Amino acid sequence: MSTQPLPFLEILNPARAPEIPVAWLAGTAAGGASSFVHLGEFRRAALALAATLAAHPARNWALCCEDAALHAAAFLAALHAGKNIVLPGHNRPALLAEQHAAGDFDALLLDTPNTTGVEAVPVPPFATGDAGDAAAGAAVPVPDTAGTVTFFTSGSTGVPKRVVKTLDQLQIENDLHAAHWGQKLPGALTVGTTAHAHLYGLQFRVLLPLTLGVPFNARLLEYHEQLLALPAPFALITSPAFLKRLDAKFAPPAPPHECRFILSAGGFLPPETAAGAAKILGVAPFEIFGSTEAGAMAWRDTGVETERWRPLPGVRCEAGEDGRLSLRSPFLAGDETLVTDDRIEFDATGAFRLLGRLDRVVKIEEKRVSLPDVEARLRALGDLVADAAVVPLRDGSRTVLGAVLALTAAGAERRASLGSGRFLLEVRARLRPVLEPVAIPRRIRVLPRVPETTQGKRDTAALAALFEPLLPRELGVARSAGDATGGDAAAVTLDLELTPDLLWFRGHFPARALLPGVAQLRWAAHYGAALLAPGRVFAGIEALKFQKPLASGDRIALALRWDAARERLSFAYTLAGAAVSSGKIILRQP
Amino acid sequence: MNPLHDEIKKLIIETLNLEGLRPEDIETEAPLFREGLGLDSIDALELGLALKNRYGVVLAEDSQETRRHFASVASLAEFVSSQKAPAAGTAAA
Repeated sequence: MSTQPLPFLEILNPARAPEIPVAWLAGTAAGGASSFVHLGEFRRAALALAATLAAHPARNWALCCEDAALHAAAFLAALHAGKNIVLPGHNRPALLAEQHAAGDFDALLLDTPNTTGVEAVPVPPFATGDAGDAAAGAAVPVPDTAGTVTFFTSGSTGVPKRVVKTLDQLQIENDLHAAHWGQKLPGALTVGTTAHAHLYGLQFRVLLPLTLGVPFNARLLEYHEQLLALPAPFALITSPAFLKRLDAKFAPPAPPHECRFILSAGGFLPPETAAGAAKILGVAPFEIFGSTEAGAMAWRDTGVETERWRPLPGVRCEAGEDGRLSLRSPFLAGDETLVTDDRIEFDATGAFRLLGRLDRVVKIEEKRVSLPDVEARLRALGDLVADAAVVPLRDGSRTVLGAVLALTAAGAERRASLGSGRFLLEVRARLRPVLEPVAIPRRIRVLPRVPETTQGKRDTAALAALFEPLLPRELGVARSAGDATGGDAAAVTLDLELTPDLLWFRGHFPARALLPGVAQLRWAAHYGAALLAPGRVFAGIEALKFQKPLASGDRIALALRWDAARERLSFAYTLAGAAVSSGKIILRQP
Repeated sequence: MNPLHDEIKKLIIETLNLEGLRPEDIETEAPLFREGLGLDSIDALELGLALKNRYGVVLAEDSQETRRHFASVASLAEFVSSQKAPAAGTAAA
């Protein structure tokens, strides 16, 4: 199949046969068969919607369809009706209402029930079956002026940043991608794991296949398993979040349903992830480095290069004094030089390495998250939260956000009555309407006030240190109340793991981190008070013996025995049955 | 109290590192995604891998069906026990 890309505004013209498949709809919950939407049906739906929109006075339309094929039809309909398209990039009703009130758009195009309170025009499902003789002859409206497409992305100031592109800019970038990657798509079904409401997903999952006349998957692909049930060879439009979580148990998809092409963007693909994906899916991923503002900037084939990026044809990248990347490209408005917050370093061949970012926006699973925005949203929970600081934390292979909170009196009361776990859930539930899921903090530290440096600034490293655990990981607790020997005594045994992230291992011999004795004392007092002697606090040591050092990674048992009459807690740590330390401490009512 | 419910709640807390949460904080019938625990698509992938590793379950190719299984702790438990018996032979991988 040799395919010449069509301009966006010619896709609905009857230049192509109505039987060409446009989109694939995987089987539904009702057990329905999978099916293709063909160009005729697609054209008819888009033209009907274009007529509705043309007769409507609203000018700026927010496009929020969950189905990528309906999204595509609504996109073209709005263009032909001469409207401006706004892509909020999310489907959260409360935030959409907020954005509408702020004037970001006039009305919505939705393929789901409207719960926003904002005026919406529904985008109905395709009427399949009739390949569309009626549409073939229908007049395709030509807009007087081409509309614009507005994207939203997290800005470093905390306010979502608006990026407006003209249709020309999108078209030029699309044509460049068609020339650069287009030969890899024909004959394959384009499937994607990245949202079609953002630039990358829109371009590669929807617009590029549409202009090339190759079919795309209308639904977002969520699990590796779905790659094994596709009806044809496929091209995968994805991101590191998905590729990192491929299941190595599966054999590579084989002909006639093989993986032909993988494109990853949105975040840096670690070399081992790229190599893993190549092994599991059978082809090495290509990678794009880009942003909503700049579009695609550079690329690489991870089969041969995982360090350096090569600018795409026509894109001119430069590094400033601090390494700051600026660029010009044929799809930036006019003669604009775009200055980014990325730091880069060129080598002699004109390829560059990425060195990091210069602002307070972090990338979490490819989503740009503005830390000031998350902080502002936390402070907006005014009944609970007096002040907030947010820091990114490493959690295994993923990044999560931690929130350091100062609570109001009511907030402190609420936390005391709910417990810290449910309080975290409540905070998360209240942030959900206004934040991306990955931007919602998973860990909370509560302090009387949010710590600042003497210059009144926040020290990220100091804030992050608040999240390093003081307690070991609990693997299990066994309780044996009122055993045979002591009438008034109660006892528990805990199985504990000394995880390497414990604050106690900081600053000790780095080669073999050892647990200080004071930690063992504090843990005995902590678990004694928590499990056996509620409300009591450490008041002194009666006996103490250290026999064996403990290291990071050790799994130990802690036996505790509480003698209420004498207010004494006996403890004994053992490692694989061997004595580590033991002693007796006093716990009193404060 | 269904022990599998408790086990799955522990697995969720461990896998997703929801700090300070205890199994009893998670309601068995409450939705895991969007409302309820408010988990995201990355969580879904992580949880899927954890369930496969722990129980050897096989996720459906149909995303709607998988979504139904992942609706709540109760539906996950049903899914795991429905696969346990017949899948004993195939889950060895």
